[in-house]
Order: sequence, then structure tokens, then C-alpha cells
Amino acid sequence: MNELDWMREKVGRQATDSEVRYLVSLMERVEGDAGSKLVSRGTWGDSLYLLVDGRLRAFVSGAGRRLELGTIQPGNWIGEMHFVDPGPSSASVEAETPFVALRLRNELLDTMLRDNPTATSQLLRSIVRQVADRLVRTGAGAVERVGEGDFRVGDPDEPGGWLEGLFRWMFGGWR
Amino acid sequence: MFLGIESFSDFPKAERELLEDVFVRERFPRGHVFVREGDLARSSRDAICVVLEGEVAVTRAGGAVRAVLVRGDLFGIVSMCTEHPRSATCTAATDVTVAHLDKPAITYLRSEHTALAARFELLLARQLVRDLRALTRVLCDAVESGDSGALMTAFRAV
Repeated sequence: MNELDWMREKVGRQATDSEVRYLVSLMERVEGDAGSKLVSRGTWGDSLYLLVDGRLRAFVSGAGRRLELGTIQPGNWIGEMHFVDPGPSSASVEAETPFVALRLRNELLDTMLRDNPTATSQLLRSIVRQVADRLVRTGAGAVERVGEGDFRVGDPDEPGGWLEGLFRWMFGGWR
Repeated sequence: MFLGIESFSDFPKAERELLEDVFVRERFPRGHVFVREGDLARSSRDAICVVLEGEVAVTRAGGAVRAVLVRGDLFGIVSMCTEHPRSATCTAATDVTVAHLDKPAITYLRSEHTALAARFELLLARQLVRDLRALTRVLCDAVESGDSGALMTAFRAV
């Protein structure tokens, strides 16, 4: 699949060819080698990335411990929350393999809203769906266990135990 | 209707007036249930609501209050945008006035007023991002505190 195909898959079939081309035209190509970092936890994030080739890994680390949150495959958004509301990154993302991603900066948002509101609306609807889904899964993941009188969160069969499961619920959504 | 509400301040005056035409303003008595946890989404009653006056309590099973919504807060976005059953119950904690926007009205905006619709999608996205950040903050704080009581309380509230 090429960059246009990945974008079409993300924004949905209702988007026209020209809308998909418009969105891709605004994005800058970012490439990196295995081991390079795309996002560092705690640094200011203001960009949306669409991974189009390669494989990335999201993690949080601290106190001598590194918690893997999941593998990111082509066709996934990264940083969608920062694009609509910039802020510090909650997790780090680094390359497992050489990768290619498309980057869209928040500073273009006003221009997009003015120049092509239909395409911008398609993109924002995709982001709304993804964030809404994460919001529901995060809350559900926490509460289900309470209902059973058990405070473990996430998949109980998952390696790493309930704490890692909790963080995957909170930051995950890529797998 | 939306004058002075920060989340609507990005809308040019003409767009805000148009929004005020398509939103329906309605008053509800204390105790009115807007959204019930577990109900299937995508029902004919789905609507995005903005609190104009009063307070709306968001609760989960067992009655724990997850949030109290006040003037300018939005609710109903998740049900409108996903297939998930409703994740919480929203009840009028006082007499409440809300402005609500149903699906046909959203479809109308998307087809006839694309610039306004795009700005409205951005408003929804920003509200969801704030909600998700608040949720993760509560859970992270509880985990980092190492206090099992705090963790239990946080789990019941989210």
C-alpha cells in the first residue's frame, strides 16, 4: 500500500480522492533507522504521525524499568491527541525496524480548516473515533475488574501482571 | 446560548449563531436521566449535549460519581461516535438546561456547513482528549501512590 492508500484507510471511504491527496500533501515524510526515537516521553508533542512503513514500539520507562506498551504497525496514527491539543508526550516511541511515517503539525490546523474544511473534517472524525474508543476501553478495562471484586486490570493472561495490563489499557490501542 | 463558553469561543460569530439555530435548548428537572450506562449506542435518542445551566452527574455502576458536568461541558460524544454501549449514566443533579444536537442535525451541518462542521469536530476531539487525559491522570496517580485504597477508589470512579 502507498501513502494515499494508508490515508484513505484511516479517514474512511467517504473521503474523496482529492481530499485524501490534500491531507497527504500537507504531511512531511519522516524516516528513521532501527533504534531511532520518533517520540520521547515528557517532550512537547504537537504532531500527528501516520506510520506507512516499518514497525515501531511504544514504551514507558523509569526507575530502571521499561514497560512495553505495544507494537505499532503501518496504518496507525501516533500522536493524534497532540495534534488537536498539544502537550507533553505520555509515552516514548522508537523504531524496531527502519521506518517511514508522515507527519502533520498542529500549526497547520487553522490553514486546513480554512482551505479544505471537508478534508479536515474527515481527518478529525477519524481522530474522534480513535480517541473515543480508547476512552471507552480504558474505563471499561478498569471497571470490569472492580465489578468482580478483583482489582487487576487488563487481560489477566497477559505477561507482566495487572500493572502492565493497566498501562496498556491507558496508552495502548495500536495492536 | 453559547456566549461566554470557552470551548465555543473559536467559532466566528456567524457560525456560533448558526449553531444556536441547530442546537435545541431544553430544560430538564432534577433526576432526569439523559444517558443510561449499558444502553446500546446509535439509538434514536443519541445526541451531543452541552450543559448551559445546572449540573449533570456522570456515574458508573454502583453509583460512584465519575464527574459533575457544569456550564460549557459536553456529553454524549462517545455514544454518537462509536458502537460501544453507553459507558456511564448521566443524570440531572439539579434542574438543568442543555442544548442538544441529534444525528440528523450533525449530518445537515456536515453537508451544508462544512467549515462549521470541521470546527465542531475539532471541539469534540478536544473534549475527548481532555477526558482521556483526566482519566489516565487519575489512574496513574493512584498507581504511583501505591495505596491500594486510592487505587480502588480510582477504579470505581473511572
